[in-house]
Amino acid sequence: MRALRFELSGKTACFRKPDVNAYAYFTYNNIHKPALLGLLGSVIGLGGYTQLFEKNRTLKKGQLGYDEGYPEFYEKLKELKVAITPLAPNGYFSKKIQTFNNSVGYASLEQGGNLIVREQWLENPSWQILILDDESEVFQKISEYFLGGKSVFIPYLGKNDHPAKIDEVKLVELFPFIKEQKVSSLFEEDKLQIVKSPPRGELSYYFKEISPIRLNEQHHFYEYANLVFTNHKIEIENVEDVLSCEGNNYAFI
Amino acid sequence: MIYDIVNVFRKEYEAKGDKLILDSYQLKDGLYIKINNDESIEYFIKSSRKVKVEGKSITEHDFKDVSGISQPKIYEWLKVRDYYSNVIDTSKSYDAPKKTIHNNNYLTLFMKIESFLEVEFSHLRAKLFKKVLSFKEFDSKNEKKILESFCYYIQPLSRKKDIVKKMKQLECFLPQIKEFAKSYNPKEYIRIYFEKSEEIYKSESAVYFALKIYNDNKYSIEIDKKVFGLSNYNMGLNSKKPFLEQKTRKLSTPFMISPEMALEVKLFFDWLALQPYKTDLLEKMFVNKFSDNGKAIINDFDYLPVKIEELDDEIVVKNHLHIKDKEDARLTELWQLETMVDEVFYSRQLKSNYFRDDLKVSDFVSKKLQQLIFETKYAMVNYFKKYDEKEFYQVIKKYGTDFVIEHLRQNREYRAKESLNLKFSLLQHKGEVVMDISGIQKKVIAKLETSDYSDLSSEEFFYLCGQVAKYLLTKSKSGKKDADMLEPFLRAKSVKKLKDEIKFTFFKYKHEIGLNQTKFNNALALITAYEKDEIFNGDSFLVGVLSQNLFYMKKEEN
Repeated sequence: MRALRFELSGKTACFRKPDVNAYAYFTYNNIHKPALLGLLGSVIGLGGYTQLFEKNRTLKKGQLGYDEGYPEFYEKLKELKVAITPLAPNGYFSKKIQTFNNSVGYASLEQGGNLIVREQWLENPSWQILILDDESEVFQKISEYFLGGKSVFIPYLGKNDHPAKIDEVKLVELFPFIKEQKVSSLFEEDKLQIVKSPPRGELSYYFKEISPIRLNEQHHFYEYANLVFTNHKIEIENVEDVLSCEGNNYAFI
Repeated sequence: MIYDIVNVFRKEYEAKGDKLILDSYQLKDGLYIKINNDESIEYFIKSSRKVKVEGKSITEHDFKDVSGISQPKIYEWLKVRDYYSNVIDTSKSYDAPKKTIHNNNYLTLFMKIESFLEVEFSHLRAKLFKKVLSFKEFDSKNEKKILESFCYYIQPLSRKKDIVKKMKQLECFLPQIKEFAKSYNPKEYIRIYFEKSEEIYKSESAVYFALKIYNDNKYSIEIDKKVFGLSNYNMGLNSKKPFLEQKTRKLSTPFMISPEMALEVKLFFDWLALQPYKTDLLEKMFVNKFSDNGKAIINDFDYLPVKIEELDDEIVVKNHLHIKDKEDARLTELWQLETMVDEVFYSRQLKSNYFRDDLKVSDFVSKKLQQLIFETKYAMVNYFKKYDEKEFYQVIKKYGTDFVIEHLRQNREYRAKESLNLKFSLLQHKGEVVMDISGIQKKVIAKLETSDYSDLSSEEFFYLCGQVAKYLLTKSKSGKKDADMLEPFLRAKSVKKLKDEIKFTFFKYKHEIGLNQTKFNNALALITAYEKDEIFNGDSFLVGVLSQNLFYMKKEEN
């Protein structure tokens, strides 16, 4: 088994949580799977939400030609398996709330036409990403573009305020999961069981975040999973979708 | 974020139930009226006032009947029913857009006293009693769907009869209650309750909450026979702010939740609104909120993977500047470091202002300190509250000296020395090489006493400048000697400017300096001869100013 491995980083990033908008928009600590697939889609030039919206904008729901499906990138990439490893102590990135104005005029219809936006941003985020080779055409294309340093659109981290840096691209060999060792990437909490006590001589960390894992088929809102990043070892031996690479275990989600 | 929080909150709520919220729930000030089953009416008054106890201001609450006797049992009886009967917010009241009725069932009537005195009974009949009789006015597709599940409860004749009965009773008592309310503060509330069991109160309100729990039912959609809707807490869409919508998604509403989830979110925010700023319920989460018209709005959130209480390595705060009778301090816990940073750098203005964006300049906070707090407080919050050390030492390195200068400008020489000690100690803790003050002192004294005119190092030069500047200024005969006199030196940005300032000051006080003061003359010669053009080294200069002055050392020795 092989995987495409690369490092994804940037100065700042914001993966907006959709749940509140009263005071500020908050960000997920880690890039989530739908956003990562979006980034891959942008590199190989697949259409996103905007293209789907444009296609449907003059049509009514149910009318001939109205596309009920996913945006192109998700339709084509949703079967890919990825492993995401935050490259920061305890898997935690510093965050800060940034305040800025949107003064284009049509963003706010209040007097003055100024919209104040507050966003929580990640600072110096960096992840190691593994994409499992499922021998599909689309994986071939992604590896070709990544290894060749090519991209159709400019990839960014959540919003185009935050350009993405991609380096250390490499095809790596994968091996079976190594027993008695921690998982070095984010994994779904209910799929793997971990031991209660932390490894000897290390400070325990357990980072948990409910983050988007797929898109709802009918309405395209996020469906969520509990993702965990920890240094505790796995307890049960028969684990699904965990493979190792250069001595570390990675969970493919 | 909401899912993360509710997951934790759910566990607490399952253990304690509504008590979790009710324990910190309080009745608002106003007039409370209980109509008993035997048609007798009881009046109670809830009042509160601020009092000072041992310098701290606290609020005292009183709940009394008309004869002035405290009634804690009735208070508890009312409190529970009050919590269930409130509207979610006034825009979701039954008589919107008038928004005068602030209760959600026919068993209560909550109004502002001023609007109560003017209200016609027909308004209450049409907008409250008629509406809850069969909820017929809620006739959109989604609302009908919601009401289907309450059919068994709404339909029975006994309920309808009771509604009519209560309505007639209220109509009959209204003039009498109005008469009583007239003498009362019109800004406060009047709240009328009919005697009924807690369960019935709860079930009555449940219908209202099901109908109004979402931001607006027009956004609701049906998925698997369940009505999902737009969350209402910390979330809203506003036609004047079109970008709150998701413009190119299939659903323009950002956050759709199930009815069960919506109710849990409501419970959480009800609870959060009643909490003080610091709360322990959400152990691994950092949640900070502010209150907007009694509603809790979250303005910071983070999940914390680790908690640091004890520091990995003990921090030793050394007395680098040799302050008299000051001993080295050893810090082992994070809170000790926080307290010390707050005291020494921020003059105790940090902890209380972590989350205040409206911090004003005052007697305690100078303009410069205000600026420093705004620039550095996030790094402090990140370290002391979120246990993320990344920025802390960078900020100490970059801003430490600014705190020293700020203390000097405010004439707090002792604090300035302490600050410089703390800055050096923290940098040393992180493995940086800091100035060896005793060493430099010895070297410089040797040069001055032996008239060794070999080149000064940069550190030595700025140290000596600080010493000379301080010495000259002590020669001033002015009655008021304060740190303002150091201002021109602190403003110097280059070696040349600093040299000029020293010359200028020397000419000002030269009458005080003997022609054969070898040590001083040597110092001045060394300074004047210094040729390198460098950026002003604030730390070394300040060490020169704040450490023991070597021109006086000789005097002591003599």
